[in-house]
Amino acid sequence: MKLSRTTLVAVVLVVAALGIIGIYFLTMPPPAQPTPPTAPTPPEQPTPPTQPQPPKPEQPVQPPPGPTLQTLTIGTSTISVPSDFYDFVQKVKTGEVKVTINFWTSMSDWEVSVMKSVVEMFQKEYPGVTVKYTNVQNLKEQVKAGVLTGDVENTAHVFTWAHDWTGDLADGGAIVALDQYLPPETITDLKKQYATSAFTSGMYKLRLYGLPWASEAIALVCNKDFVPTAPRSWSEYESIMQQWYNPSERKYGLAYQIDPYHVYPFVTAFGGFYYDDDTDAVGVNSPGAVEGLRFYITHVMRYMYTADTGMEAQLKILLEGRAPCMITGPWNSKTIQENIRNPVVYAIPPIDGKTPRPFSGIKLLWITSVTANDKNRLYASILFSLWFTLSDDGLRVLVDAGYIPVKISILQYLQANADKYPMILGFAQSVANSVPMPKSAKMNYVWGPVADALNAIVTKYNEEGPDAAAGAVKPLLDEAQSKILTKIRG
Amino acid sequence: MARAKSRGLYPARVAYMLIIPSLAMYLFFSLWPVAYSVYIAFTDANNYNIASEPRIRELQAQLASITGYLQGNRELVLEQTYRADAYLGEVSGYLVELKRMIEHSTPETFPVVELMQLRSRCDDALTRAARIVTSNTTFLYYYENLGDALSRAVALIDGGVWGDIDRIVGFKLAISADDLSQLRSSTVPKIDRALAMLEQARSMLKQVESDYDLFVRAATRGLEEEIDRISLHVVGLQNFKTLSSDSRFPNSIFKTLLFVLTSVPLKVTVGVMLAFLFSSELIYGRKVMRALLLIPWALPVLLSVTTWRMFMAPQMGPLWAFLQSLGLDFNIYNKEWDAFLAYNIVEMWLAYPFIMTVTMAAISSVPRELLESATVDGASAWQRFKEIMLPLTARPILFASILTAGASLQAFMVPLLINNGGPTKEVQFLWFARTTAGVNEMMVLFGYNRAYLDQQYGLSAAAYLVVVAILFLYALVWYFLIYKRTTPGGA
Repeated sequence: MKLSRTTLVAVVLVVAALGIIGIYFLTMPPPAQPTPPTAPTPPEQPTPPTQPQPPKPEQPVQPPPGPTLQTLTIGTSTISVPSDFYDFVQKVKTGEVKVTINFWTSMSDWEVSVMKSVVEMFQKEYPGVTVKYTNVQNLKEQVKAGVLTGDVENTAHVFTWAHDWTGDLADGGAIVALDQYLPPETITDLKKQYATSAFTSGMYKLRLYGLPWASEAIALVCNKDFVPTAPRSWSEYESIMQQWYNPSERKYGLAYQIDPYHVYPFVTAFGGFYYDDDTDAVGVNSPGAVEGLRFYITHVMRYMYTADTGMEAQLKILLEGRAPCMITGPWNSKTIQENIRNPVVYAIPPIDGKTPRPFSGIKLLWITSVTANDKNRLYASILFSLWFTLSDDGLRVLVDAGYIPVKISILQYLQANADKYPMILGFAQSVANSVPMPKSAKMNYVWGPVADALNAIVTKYNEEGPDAAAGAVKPLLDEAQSKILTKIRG
Repeated sequence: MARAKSRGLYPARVAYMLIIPSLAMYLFFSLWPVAYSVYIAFTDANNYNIASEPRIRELQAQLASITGYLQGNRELVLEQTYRADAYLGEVSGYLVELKRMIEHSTPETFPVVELMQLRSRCDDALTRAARIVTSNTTFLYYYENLGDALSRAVALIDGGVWGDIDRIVGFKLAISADDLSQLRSSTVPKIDRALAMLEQARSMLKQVESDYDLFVRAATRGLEEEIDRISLHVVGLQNFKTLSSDSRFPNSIFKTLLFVLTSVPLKVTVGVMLAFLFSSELIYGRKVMRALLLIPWALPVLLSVTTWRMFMAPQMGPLWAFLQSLGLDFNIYNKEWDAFLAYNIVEMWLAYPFIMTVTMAAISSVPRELLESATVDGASAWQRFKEIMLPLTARPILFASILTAGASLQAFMVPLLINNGGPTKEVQFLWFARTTAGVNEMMVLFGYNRAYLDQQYGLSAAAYLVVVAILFLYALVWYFLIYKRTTPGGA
């Protein structure tokens, strides 16, 4: 009798607890992050800035809306900005207004020290703005989580990464569009400052989300002792590879990491592509891509070490002088300069007059949407983005550290001092030939299947030789294409 | 009497006060995350719909007010639409002029300065038009595919037309005949395409001008579509269908089970052998050696597996070089079974200290008297081992094996760090469709790669649900074999 009563109480308790949990679940906002262990009250959200406030009918967009324009000078650039922003800049310059912003990156050690010195230069110029610089892991996850919880103090206000995140971040509402706060005049002025491809990489759905400060694209990095002048065509370089290739002595014609990103120049040279932002088309098995990879197998892979096509092994081949050149990007510049006496960078030579176009990544500065409700912070973030991407002094420090600039005045400076920057200029040429990586979030579905197809081609090549591998290109790419299409359709 | 007393000391409500918070904590920390990940397995979660609430809320707020706003501000919106239309007309005009410039001038007469002015005016008009279209005072962006059409036009003008001009003309003050012919062959077609796109965008603006009510209805629809695109959807069993639609996942389950069958005997044999060896009093300095043998256990897995990979990597590793000198071409990146063998070796190396420790503890608990009396009774060393040591240590060894088999079933770090489950080949497993896949992608690694390479969180969660089911089955089998039947191994 006693026992059954206890059981009854226990059952009632469990049911009640489940009920509480059930109600809690029902009242919860649509699936929130699983992590926050504190009671997930709907995160305090900055009211979205694009939200149509009780619209004032007499709100004209143009001609010159309310704010008058003033001319702001940063480095060698003059841009017209709204006068309240101009006033803010003057106040932080004298230290009359004080504001703190968080600047986040996810970089390697040597980059962090460069960033620190540039941030210091900014603070000297604008003592009113304190930039708290942090190098974080999992940058994207941390920024998104910070925006979701709306924690203004502990989230990045400005952060940087390559432009292919733009679509993803903008769709999720993590970053603000600069044109919400800057009039068309400012945007047009800004557009003139940077190389066009770099500037447009910050645009998404007609809005400007980020400003560019550096770019990267792969190029032919050579040891000048072995390849003194730029090869004029791929066949010219192929004859060099023929002389070098001798696997029994472990010598190869070219060091080259094989993955979808790195083989892209050969895909584009024949008119192929993976995904086109403009037409929203997937072209993994397009005739150009198939032809390009077949060419790659017979005219590039043949002279390579294919048993390990990872970055470490291939870089080692170049550094040990077992290959004259490597197709790689500026991120390896430092290691190469430390190990090779006389490195030089050439654009990838044209194949029968067709230009191979590598992917390029543009490093952008974005401003997170947590700043939207705090005008000083927002303006300080905009000022920091402008200064970081426009100040010639700061950019020159970045160039000396090995970054490939995108601001036109700095590019001109590089051309004038060509002998001082043999590597950077070569990469800059390669960037000029490049195709920016697609910004669409759909690109995430492309990498995996294409990587699988490429790896399968390499395996086939190692097991059955070049002819079998070339024969397998078409079916493998067809399969990758259909996989991508199913994923996109969902 | 005693009962009543104890009730006074511990009243029931104290018990409830203790139980309720602990129950709540349990539900919060254990059941909630579990329930959430099970839920995710039935959705199409991916990188752009998993954390899009801020944007969804923003769009919903727009949606709520859009109809009223558009109806109330007809004049304002129309006026801006006309203006956008006019700007786009201007852009078309500039582009036509640019085309004429390229087609009708010679290298000597090509007006570089004029080109730059034209470009700047064109950009200005385009920026203003885009501003009106994206503005929250018009909501034109979501009308039909006006926004899409215009962004494609802008991308083509910026990336194509100006990109070409940047590349070909660059900072030059005069251009060559070759430059001009390049402009003619590559840039002019792009200008034509851009003009067509602008025309398309303008015709949509004209639709708005002519039928405003249609626009009001369509704008809501565009916003709804956008919200739908970035929202999480429940897709039922779709993810499980996808998992079984080709050979990749079935093959990875098969490879995992195979790995359990090969690695567990290997680990246990080596661990037990070492334990017996170092329990023998005949070995001098065995305590020090025993301590040294436990090192693999103490090292971080990340470090030791990476070291093993470097050790075996072609062209780099000393082990590779040694095998090469023996005439063996061992390649962990290219050969399916070489890689599999490498996983087994590394897993064995990581896990033997555990087996060894457990076994040694068991050995030391065997009573010396038992062994001594057996010796007196004339049992040989082999008989003592077979009849006394083995039965008495079998049970702990069995337990250790079960635990370590669980670890093999969840193999992740080892395949990830050695070669990420490669090499990649065409795979055909039983009746499942042929596909390209990493042939040694163990099932936990499979889920990880779907989440972090392909960013399909829903699919990944579904894969993990299957993994959990398999682990549960495994646990159940052992439960019945060990606890329900009479215990094996003597006792």
